Amino acid sequence: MIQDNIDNTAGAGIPNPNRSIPVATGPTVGQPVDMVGARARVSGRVDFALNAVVPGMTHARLLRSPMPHARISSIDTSAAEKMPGVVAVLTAADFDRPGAPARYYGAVLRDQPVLCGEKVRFAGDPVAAVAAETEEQAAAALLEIEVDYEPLPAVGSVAEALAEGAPLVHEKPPLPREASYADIKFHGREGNVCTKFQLRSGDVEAGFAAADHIFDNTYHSPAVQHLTMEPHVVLARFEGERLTVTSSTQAPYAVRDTLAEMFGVASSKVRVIVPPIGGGYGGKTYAKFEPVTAALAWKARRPVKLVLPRDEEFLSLTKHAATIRMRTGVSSDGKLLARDVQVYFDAGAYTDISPRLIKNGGYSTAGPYAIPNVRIDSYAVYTNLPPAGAYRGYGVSQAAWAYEQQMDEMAEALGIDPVEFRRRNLLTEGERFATGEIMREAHWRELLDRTAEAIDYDTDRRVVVDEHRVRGKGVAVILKSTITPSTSHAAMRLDADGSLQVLTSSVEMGQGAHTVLAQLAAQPLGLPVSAVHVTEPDTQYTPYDQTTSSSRTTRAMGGALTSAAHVIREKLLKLAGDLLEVSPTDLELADGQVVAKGSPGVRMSVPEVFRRTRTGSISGDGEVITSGGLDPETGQGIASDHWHQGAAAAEVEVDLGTGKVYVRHVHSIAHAGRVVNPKLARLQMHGSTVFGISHALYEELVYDEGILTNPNLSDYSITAMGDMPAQLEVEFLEDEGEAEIHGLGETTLPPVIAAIGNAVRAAIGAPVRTLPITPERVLEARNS
Amino acid sequence: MQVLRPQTTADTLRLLADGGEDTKIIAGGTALMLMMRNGLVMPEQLVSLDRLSELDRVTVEPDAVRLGALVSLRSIERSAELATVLPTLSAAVGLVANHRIRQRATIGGCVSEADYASDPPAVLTTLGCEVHVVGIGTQRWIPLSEFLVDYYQTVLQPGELVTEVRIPRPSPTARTTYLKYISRSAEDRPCVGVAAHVDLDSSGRCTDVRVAVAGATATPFTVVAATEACRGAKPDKTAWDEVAAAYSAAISPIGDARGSAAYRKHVTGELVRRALQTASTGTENGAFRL
Amino acid sequence: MDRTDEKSFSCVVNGEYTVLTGADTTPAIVALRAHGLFSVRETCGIGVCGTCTVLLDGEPVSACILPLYALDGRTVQTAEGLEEGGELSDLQQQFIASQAFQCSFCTPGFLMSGQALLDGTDGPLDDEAIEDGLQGHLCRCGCYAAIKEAVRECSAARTCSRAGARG
Repeated sequence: MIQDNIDNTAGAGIPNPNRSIPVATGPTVGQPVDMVGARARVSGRVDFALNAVVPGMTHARLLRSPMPHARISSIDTSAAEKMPGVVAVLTAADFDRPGAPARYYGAVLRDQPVLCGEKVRFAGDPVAAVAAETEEQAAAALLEIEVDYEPLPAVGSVAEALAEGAPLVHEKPPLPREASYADIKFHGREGNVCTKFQLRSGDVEAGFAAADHIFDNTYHSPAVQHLTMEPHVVLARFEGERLTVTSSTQAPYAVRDTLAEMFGVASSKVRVIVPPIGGGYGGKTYAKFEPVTAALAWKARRPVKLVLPRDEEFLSLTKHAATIRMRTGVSSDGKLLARDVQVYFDAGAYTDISPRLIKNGGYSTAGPYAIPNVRIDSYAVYTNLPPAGAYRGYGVSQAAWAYEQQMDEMAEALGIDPVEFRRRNLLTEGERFATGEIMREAHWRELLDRTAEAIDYDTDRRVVVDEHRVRGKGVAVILKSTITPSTSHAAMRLDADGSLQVLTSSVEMGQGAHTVLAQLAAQPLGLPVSAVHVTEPDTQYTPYDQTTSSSRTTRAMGGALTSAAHVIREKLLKLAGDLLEVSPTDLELADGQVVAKGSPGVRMSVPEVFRRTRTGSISGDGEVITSGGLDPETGQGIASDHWHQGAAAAEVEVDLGTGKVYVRHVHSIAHAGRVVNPKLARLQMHGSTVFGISHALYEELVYDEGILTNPNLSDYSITAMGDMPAQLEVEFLEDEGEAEIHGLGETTLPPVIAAIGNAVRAAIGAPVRTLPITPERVLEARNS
Repeated sequence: MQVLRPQTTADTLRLLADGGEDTKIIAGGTALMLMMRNGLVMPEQLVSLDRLSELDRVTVEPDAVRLGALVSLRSIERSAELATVLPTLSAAVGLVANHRIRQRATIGGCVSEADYASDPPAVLTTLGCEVHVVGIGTQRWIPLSEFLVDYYQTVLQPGELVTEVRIPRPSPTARTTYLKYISRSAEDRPCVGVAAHVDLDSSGRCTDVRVAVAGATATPFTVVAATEACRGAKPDKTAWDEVAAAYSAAISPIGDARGSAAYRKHVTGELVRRALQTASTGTENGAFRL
Repeated sequence: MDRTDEKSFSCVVNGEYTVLTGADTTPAIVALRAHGLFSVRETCGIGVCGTCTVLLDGEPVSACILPLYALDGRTVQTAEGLEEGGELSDLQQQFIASQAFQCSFCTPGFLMSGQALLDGTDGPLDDEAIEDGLQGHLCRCGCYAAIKEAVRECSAARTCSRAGARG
């Protein structure tokens, strides 16, 4: 463990031991290759889990609590069991008996019941499940289940949850799973505090004492939904004690382990298969509806398929609502001297992955800035609301919303240009981040300069368009970590016909993972991408991968595949070298041929090497295992094996009569190191922009007394084509020569939100500190 | 549950009479299918109007336009003739929901559903639209403003059917505008919509000013006293500010995720002023999304 | 839905005479998927998102709120019917060239409205016309710019033919 070596006392900084394999642009890497399987995607033939059908399959529906917090006094399923087509009705009573599955699950804490027994903790908590011959029959049977509830006082917000004498969401939360994740530590668990993360760097009080100005502001981000176009889909079936699950999950191995623990079987008895999925954005990470579907299949003794209805999607998982109080001390010449932050993340009713998210979101509030004295306390707080978990941006959107709004507010108060103010404080090469780690490949200044230039930030920062409308410009710059430590394994097999079978558990969810992985696997072997077949994740065959999340796949799985490809390459060149009587080091691979360097006439095709050596196939494997971790008392250590760096700029037009914000121009830029596929990378960045606009202006889950009021796509608003800015640009900052790969899936989402916020502030002359920036909040800010 | 598909209005009325309370009328089904899928209504029987070709007719008369109940919103929007004679209605209909909904939704269904957040009823109100309601042995013309009574409620009695709407052609000197204000993303329903109609005499003074607000109240909201008071006034900012203030003061709007009641009250005034300004100074009649 | 309500509805789907079964008010999407047409997918279920768009007599409609009886005797086209003789349509090919999709769950819906837009217009389309034609479609992955580009390029080339629409 890295933290054993950490020196908490000095400002010297902690060197990062992690390095990735640098990759050069070549015949496949860096090329705008069409997405693998593109043809199936434009003809509607992608075989999503939604299409899965097996003989004897039944259909599931869930009965959910109408109350945010209540004791269950009784559940009567007798009428439902007699309904036409009903195969099984499952309740809490079916669990925790000999031979029966365990009722609680969770990625970190097993605190989430598959079905509620004693009490419900949010309006929408499942209390019963029905499997029937048709979905309609299952739905009809739900109406016949009688549940008696005794309402309990509920906590509908972090403030209510932390109030003196607040009702407890969990009277006695369980201990962490033994097999939980190495980076997760628990701290300060009491009352409704699920856990906290703390960071102590330097002497904050001394920093404030030295400051000329202290700014103290509070910023708020709401809960929002992932809203994948494909809902959660699970098909579970047993053969004896062997369980096979087809699921739209982003984390096949995490699902496997959860189900194996739940059914008390060896993990090899559970097989998880993941077809391409219709969008994830974090919402399908870790076990979600696999436990209830598998339990239902266990009871029904029939295959069971669950397609989550859209209104229930809204209850599945959310981005954490967050309230961030940020106090920052600055010298009059614009140097950040101290920062003290209290971050309150609303975890909802269950822990899910909150302990990691509040850690990452917590230390991220220091921003990409060199601040000598930092104190951060970041809390995950239980409330009687749907659980919060992984969401594209992973806590950084909320953190950046706070620190990048405050940067502009401080710059204005100090009379310093916002870009210049940031430049004076951005982390540079070799500087120490708040966690103590030494930053390398620091490109924040360049990213900021380029994005500011792209919208001509220096001129016309506020323009009056006509009697109703004004325009404003804003910028933002962020840093984002990735899961550390983490583990990815890959295997591949080169066959005699020169085709390559890649076994990876990385999930294709539209981000293009299987395409860029094919590109990375092909290049060391001199193969065209068309010779590579990337296998769907199947835990029975494809090697372990932690998750497809955290913008880690291209770098981590790509690194594992690159290593595996080199293993095969060495074996192949050895075989060919013997045949050609050339040293393997003097051979290279191109276009399916082994060729002597400098003597293109000395060559042999790959199939011929196989034939003449009577080789059937050549296998190789590879892995990327990163290390790191933070001290639980001080937050010092290696937070991230590498850092994502992004910036964005926006120009908006505000109607001062209605308060409505129209986004006119967005530019975003990320440090990519090496772009593997510019065509797909560009789309990832577009996706972040579209999410950014949505989170900045439109999205919010609205609860009334703990009940969600807008669980449909009419009352919940997301960015549409008509909301797109007339000017939309994305840019990558690439390194020369052989370069490391940096993921691009999330990097520009947080700065787009913050840049829009700063542009609105420039336009109306007042900050809107609460997301989304609704027309009403714009008018309120302007009139205050 | 079954769907009956009569071919004449007479047969339709008989089926409705025979069916009683649990029989509902379905035309395009865009609203009813939604409600049925969500378990909000569970009729025992539906009478579909889809084969009543006699109701799928547009008739432009010298002083009025008659739209059969089965005329789709998409065909209203696409009709070159209607774009000429009722340009603001045609354009406002083109702002409803999306192409797919407009393809299926009918004008009869639009007024009968009485959806408070629908755009056309406000425009139709300012145009003086009347609704033709028939039953067995009965028929009556009802002004739309009296036809719509509350959220999703009309004066239609069981067994009655809307067969057409009649829209008087505006005076050749009148100008009309509809502003659809959407407070969130482009696909959202309106927060507030305002339809305005301004007619001037030869000296440039107001003779006939009408304003109706959509999306904020149960039915299209009007303050007739305020618009009547404009008669004889110059169509200028002073006049429009007064009408806007009167609308803003009088309206008791709903509050939801699209805007609180207080916000809608403010925006109503803002949009009433702009709609009147556009109608009185703009070069084109039409409907605009804000 | 009670099984006794099941009826048969004859229509032409992707150029082939087809009998779909279900109740009168079974949403068309259910019957089309039961017929193996998996390009028709549901996201919102309320006619807002456009994912389940099919062409009914050439016009885009939402299959999630379209009653099955409305298909009776009509012509229906889904994304499966865009290909002709195993060749992708021009718009499909341009979607690949412009990389106008990520997860592609919404793609068939965009393709159907895009094709209807191209079929109903002539010559190159500007952004406004494209946005109007594709209004009412949501893409959560955020491919709007690429989708617009695909339709724009296809309209500029204007050799776009709609295979399979001859039903």
